[in-house]
Amino acid sequence: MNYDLKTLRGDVSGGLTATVVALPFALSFGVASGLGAAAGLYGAIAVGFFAALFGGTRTVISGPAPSMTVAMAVIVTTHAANLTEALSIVVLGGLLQVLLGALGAGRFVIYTPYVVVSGFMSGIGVIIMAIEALPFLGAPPAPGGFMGAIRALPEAVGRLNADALGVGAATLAAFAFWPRRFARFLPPPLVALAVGSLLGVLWLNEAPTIGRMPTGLPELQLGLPSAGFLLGALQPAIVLALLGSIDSLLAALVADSLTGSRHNPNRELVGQGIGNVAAGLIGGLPGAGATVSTVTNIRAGGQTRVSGMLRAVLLLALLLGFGPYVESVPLAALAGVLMKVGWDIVDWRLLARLRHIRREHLFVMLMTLGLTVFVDLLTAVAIGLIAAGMAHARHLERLEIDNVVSVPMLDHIFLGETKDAGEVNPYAARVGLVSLRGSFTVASSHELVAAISADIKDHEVVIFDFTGATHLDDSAAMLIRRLMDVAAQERTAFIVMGLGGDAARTLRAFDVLRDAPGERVVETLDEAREIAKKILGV
Amino acid sequence: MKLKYDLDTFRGDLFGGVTAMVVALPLSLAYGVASGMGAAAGLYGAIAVGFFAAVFGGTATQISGPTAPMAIVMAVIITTYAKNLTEALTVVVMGGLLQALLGVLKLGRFVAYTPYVVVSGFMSGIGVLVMAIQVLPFFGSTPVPGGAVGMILALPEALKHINPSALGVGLVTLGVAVFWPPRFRKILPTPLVGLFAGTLVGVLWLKGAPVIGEVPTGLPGLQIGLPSLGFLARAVEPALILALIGSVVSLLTCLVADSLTRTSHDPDRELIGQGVGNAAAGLIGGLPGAGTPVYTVPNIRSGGRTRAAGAIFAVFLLAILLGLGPYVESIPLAALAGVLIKVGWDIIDWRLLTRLHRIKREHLFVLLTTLLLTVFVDLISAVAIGLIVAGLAHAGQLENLELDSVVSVPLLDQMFLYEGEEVEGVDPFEARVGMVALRGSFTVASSKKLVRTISLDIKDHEVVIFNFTEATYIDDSAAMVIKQLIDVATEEDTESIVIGLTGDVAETLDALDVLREVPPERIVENLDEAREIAKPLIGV
Repeated sequence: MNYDLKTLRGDVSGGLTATVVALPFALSFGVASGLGAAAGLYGAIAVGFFAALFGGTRTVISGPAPSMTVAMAVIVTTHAANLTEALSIVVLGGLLQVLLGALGAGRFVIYTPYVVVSGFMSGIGVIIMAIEALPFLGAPPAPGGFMGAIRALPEAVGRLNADALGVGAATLAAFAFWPRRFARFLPPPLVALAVGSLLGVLWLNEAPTIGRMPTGLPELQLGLPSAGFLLGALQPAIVLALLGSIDSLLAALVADSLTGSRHNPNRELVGQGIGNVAAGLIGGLPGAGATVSTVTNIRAGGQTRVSGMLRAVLLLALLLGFGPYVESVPLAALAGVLMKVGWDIVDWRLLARLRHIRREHLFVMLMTLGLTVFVDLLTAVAIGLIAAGMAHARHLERLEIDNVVSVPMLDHIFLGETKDAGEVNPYAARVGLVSLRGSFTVASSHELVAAISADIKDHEVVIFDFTGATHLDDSAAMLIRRLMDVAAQERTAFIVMGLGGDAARTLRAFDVLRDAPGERVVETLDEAREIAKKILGV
Repeated sequence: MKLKYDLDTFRGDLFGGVTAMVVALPLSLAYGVASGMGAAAGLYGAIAVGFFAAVFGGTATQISGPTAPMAIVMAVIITTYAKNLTEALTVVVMGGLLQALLGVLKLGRFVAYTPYVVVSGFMSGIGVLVMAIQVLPFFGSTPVPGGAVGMILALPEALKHINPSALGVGLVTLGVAVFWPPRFRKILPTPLVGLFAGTLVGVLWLKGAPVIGEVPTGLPGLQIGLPSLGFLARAVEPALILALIGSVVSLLTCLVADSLTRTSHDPDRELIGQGVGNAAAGLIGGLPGAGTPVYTVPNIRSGGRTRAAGAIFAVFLLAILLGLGPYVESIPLAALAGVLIKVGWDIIDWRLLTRLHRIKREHLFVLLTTLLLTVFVDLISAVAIGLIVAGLAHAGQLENLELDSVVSVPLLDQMFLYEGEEVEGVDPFEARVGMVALRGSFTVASSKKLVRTISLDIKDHEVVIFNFTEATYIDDSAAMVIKQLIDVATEEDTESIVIGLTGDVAETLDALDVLREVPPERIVENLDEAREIAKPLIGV
């Protein structure tokens, strides 16, 4: 790509717009995570810069992400005894992400089913709204995620801070009702934050504010934790790495569909990982590719990595120049911004259609959502993936079984017996044909054993026809092995026909054909007929 | 199929039950000791689970009793979750109830969808764990908690203080178990012969080897002790692990039994039976168990055909417990260790492990991940991550197959709109209409790549026809992709027409409201109708 003035203008415009959108989010997520508003900005700067520079997409804008913020809040209260420990978990998470990318695991993330993503995101939205309800009412945040916030809510309502509520409500309203046609010039979150802060500074002075912002450049936060701590830190670090990877790659897919480009998932993970390592080193919140910022960037003209890097530099300049002013931003204004963010993350479109969607989709979605809110994020995604896989297998089972044909071959037609017609029973069928067409997986393998075993019993020779088989997985290969065992036990001879390509490779890999004599593995039905004749002595 | 119960059937069940009992006796003692609950607990568990799972379960020929995975889970529960025996037994009872609940919720059938490589990796991991745990008693040291890692950490110390008598007994047991000729195995099963030889050597010559010691005699008593509510909340997690592992192991065994007897089991009823059995085991102080091929296959091979075989199995074990209890006390622990080391070795799926270099890379990865997690992390993580990785690897395989069955073609104006007639002023190579045909099944595997390939094609045309005539199955993610494609079309001012939507596919698209942007009159049956709609849109 030729980098000319026009590209630069697009990148500058994209980077500027993304900065303006990112600023309020960075501050809010920083506060929500428990690391502080400055950490949100540091994170946006570090992750934004390095992920843009080293990542596998040109237009993705990275910064603090909702799911990682929720995870970070848990890490700060549960896993880490102090800031140094929390930051070493961030660094470790970044390193793991780099490792995932280096191992080529990136391409697998996109295989997460839609209902799982939907349930998970809706759960994150619910958690964010619950957590932010406390500062929205002027109360201090409570540890313990969703349940902690709900438990602290009655107390917060009892000691309602009217000023905070006023600021929060005004922010939320400005965000929600800012007219769309102005949104291009002044993004709603920024307007909302400005309205809330103005209100807080001028009239509603009693609302708690951010307070004490560190000024100047972020410093390197180096502190080597003990080896014992690192072992315990592995689990939360894995959570951060996985959540960040999922978020980033989903954003990359959105960018792909908008720009028609193709991202490199593994390089993207490496870039995001470096960004998170950098964020942890300078005391920032970990982050990921952000869909909203990315879309804004692309729509405003951003085309290359320059826009993302420019945004990070602009944020740094803002941090240096405006740091002191940030101190008087009311926490309730940030809560107002995040309430709207939480609301938007919830997949209302699917939730509104709950009555219509299939029962198994409903089950997977609600389970992922419930586990996200009440248990923890990693369990939610893990069980969601397993349940979706099982529901999917159930569907496949029917389709795959429909693709198996097991037919008896009438002797006088198949073998073409020339004996006296009077001696031959016209309906005798000593040979059976089992034809496997399409792809076969674990979904149908157990049902098929039962179905085909019965057919095998009825014949003296069984021909397994793989001519139309495109794909066999490990379990299907074992199915064939078991069928052959059944045939051996029933003294039914078997002939394998038309084995080629992928199916043949899998069967050979699992040594399924070990007991099949070489001459019984043939290409066509005619060859199979010759073998069958020999076996039956015709 | 209703069997008439005659003398022949009874004889088969009797032989089956007794053979299974002979196999189970040494293993129950060994698993009882290995779990940390004691030899008697192993027997109690075999009796309770064996009896109730047979009576209430969903497989006629299944024999249930203590198994390696359940013993390993129980060892973890005793060292990590429970402070005393009462708490451990509460976890067992809860696990049983949860298992019954899984059956009531009809979740049994899903276990059959566990891919072979995951099962293989898991069982090989269990085999390694069983052997690892038994290494210490084999050398005459006391077992330590912490699974494979704990064993490795304790090994140097154990090697310094080898008890030669124990090692001798262990070696004799293992040697007999390994070299017992196959043709005698039908009459005298290997574990029993091994245990007998080891015990004989221990009682007669090598008296220095530690023995089982004080086994309670008489009938097992009810062990009821209500734990605190707080403990119940903490017990949910280990109970769930017991329930899940027990269910997976039992149902996989049912599949083996099915293929041997050509019957078909009822997975949900089986879970209820196993759950009742485990709850009973917990109540009388026994080790939880599961259905296992180790007992089930000998039963079937010896003629067992009905539930009576399982009941006979349990009753005979009870008789042995009452009659031979005192003799059990002098069995050396090293003999049990020798038996279990052979069992662990046999559980490992050597047939697949010896072909590691031949199997596909993704299968290899799933297998090793599951195996290593089983040995070094925990059983539930191993199965969960194994399932996820297998699913993702499978999606990676499907992707190419599915993408191959998508066709995106430009329809030449001359051919499509003018039906082959040569019309003045029409560029013969102009194609203002494109067709995207989706054939076969589409899932999350290919969905993301579809967007990328097809959205570019859509931009090139004025009208795009989505052809579902040959589509058989579309999952949630693929449906959302179609929605995304239609959105792309709307954004690019390309008109969309949908043809051939029926059945299952139509239902899914409707449920997820995918075709919201497409006017109802543009959803038609076939290409001719689509042509009539396309003509006015282009102005022909």
